[in-house]
Amino acid sequence: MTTETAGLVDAEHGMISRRIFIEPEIYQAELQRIFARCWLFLCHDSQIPRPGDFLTTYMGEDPVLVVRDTAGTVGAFLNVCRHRGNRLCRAEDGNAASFICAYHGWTFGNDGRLTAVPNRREAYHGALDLGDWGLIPVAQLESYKGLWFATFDPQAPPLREYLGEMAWYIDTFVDRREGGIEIVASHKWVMPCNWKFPAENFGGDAYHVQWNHLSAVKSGFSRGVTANASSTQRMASPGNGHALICVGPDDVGDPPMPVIEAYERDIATEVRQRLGPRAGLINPIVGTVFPNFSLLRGTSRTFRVWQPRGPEKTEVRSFVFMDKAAPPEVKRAIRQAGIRGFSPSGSFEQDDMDNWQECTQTCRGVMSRRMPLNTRMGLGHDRFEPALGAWVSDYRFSESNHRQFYRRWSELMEAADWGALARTTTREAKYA
Amino acid sequence: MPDQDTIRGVEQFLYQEARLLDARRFHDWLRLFTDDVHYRMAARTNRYPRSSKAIVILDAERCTEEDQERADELGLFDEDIATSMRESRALIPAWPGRKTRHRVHGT
Repeated sequence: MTTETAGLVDAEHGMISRRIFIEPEIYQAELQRIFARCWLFLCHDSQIPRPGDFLTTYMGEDPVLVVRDTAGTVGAFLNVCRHRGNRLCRAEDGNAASFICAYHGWTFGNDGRLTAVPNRREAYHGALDLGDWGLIPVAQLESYKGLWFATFDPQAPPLREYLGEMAWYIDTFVDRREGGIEIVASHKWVMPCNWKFPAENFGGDAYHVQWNHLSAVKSGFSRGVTANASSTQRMASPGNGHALICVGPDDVGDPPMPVIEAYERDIATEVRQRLGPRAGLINPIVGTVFPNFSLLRGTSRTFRVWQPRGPEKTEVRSFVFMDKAAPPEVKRAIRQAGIRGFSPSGSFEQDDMDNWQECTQTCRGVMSRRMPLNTRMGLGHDRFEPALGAWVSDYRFSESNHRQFYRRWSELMEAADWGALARTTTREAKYA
Repeated sequence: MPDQDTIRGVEQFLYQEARLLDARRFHDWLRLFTDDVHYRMAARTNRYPRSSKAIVILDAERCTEEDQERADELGLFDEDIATSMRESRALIPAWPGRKTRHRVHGT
């Protein structure tokens, strides 16, 4: 790891080098220092409810198999056969007692153990011990309110510590009612953009909605609440690079379908009680858990993971989620809102993808790459708000969250390990 | 086998539809649809069929015969005529020269 990234992000002055969105060496360093270190989102409990249920996903560019074993314990492994490195499971989801490699037939149980190797005794002359060649597990695997996260770094702090104050903000998406949420469906597609553009957008770009999404808002598929000039909207960063757009406590950003709006009115008191007094101060509607897991509750109800696929490509894994306790007609409406707003054909998603693609592709030019990105909106106009446990912008538009996101990115890129990061991280520690 | 007039009629209809899209006359294009249209693009999911040799199934109830798409999955697009008209009315073109592509699939 010799790539020099110092100086590419100047969070204090809001200047960011465009090299970090295009250069292969920096991308390779990101895979090691960000994606092989951080806690990354895998899936929700409701996607693998029964023994044997599995799904395949990615952590960085590493293919990962998440599976609930026969005893009911969730495991996460590299989806790579220990023999010739073939991709073991080719399906996106399903149910299995064991997985059999397509190449030579090595067989792994749903707990990751190697259980059978064709001609093992004769061909290996008794020298291959099955116990030594199980699937490679992730270093740490934990769930928070049904959301499963994993990290490849044994030194990473526990998940709850990694999330910090972000945990409460996640609650406002997944723990609004008894029973939590369920994920009902997913989309998957590839965008020609760097993964950081969608991550920063969901983390704090309230500014683009009123202009870029004008058509989509006018169509009536969204309230466009983040464009509402009378809102007490703020950008909030609870630390560690996590970031959210929060509207005022009484602002409504729900999908504008009568059945959803009526449902939200019915449960409003219950939700506020469950989430506690902070819910009377602020209403988080979209955000990013550092580095690449975003949550949206406004126009559509969606979680998405921005999977890196090279500096110029991102694979989106997008999920529609809803309160488990919601009645069927509300669930149907939320599914519909999910497709309309944020999906490969979604009105908002199409606007966004076009911008992120061009923001990435123009980094190819020599002169274009030398032009730093202006990330200075609201510089000096944000402060730590103890009641919110977060740094909050003074105005409803600000790039304060962008700066928090890239500052964290920069700290991780420059720190040798988690220990060094704890020593150099300043702002979080001061207020903790 | 349909007669030549029917085939020609279908062809001319497709040309007309393509011309409307090329000219960005989306309101006129939408009028080609009947009121009961359900416009759905299916999303595909890769799944092992039950007979696959790549897995040993643990819980047969969790495996459907259908290995591509389950009925409850999200489409890529799923609208009726009323919502399509709504979207079209609000369309404010922001980009120059976006191309339309025309493909005809037989089933």
